[in-house]
Amino acid sequence: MWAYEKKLEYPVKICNPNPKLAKLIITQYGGPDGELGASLRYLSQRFSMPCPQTKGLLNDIGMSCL
Amino acid sequence: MENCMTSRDNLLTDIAALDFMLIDLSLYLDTHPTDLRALNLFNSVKSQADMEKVNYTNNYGPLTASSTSQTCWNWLCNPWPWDGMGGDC
Repeated sequence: MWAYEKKLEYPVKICNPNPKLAKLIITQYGGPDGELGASLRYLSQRFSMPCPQTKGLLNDIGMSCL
Repeated sequence: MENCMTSRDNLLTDIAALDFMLIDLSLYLDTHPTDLRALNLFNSVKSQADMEKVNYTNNYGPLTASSTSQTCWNWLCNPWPWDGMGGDC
């Protein structure tokens, strides 16, 4: 079902670590209305989606947000 | 922390760029499955990415658990993606 690739999606170089910003970013990702919740919804909704294009989208977008 | 991009970092960045194109193209093709120009582009980027991944695996180690060495479980070797890369700050 899932394959893990040992690489980042794009290069990350943190020159000036900023814990406050990091905290904000992670709450945006994981918190209410966050991308993580959205991706889990898409991955659940794909099972009952009748239209093939939308089913593919729910799968692919849900997976890439995760 | 290193201050220069190694050739490993450069190759991995190139692979990441190609993979990102593939992600973008696959989302487009999901809603335009009959677009042959996009499909051909997908195929050519895919073969380039595959070639570079083989190159990376031969020189630096596996990118997936299934491409590990047959003689030792080098999947565990450092670095992992979150260990950071060199680069100019």
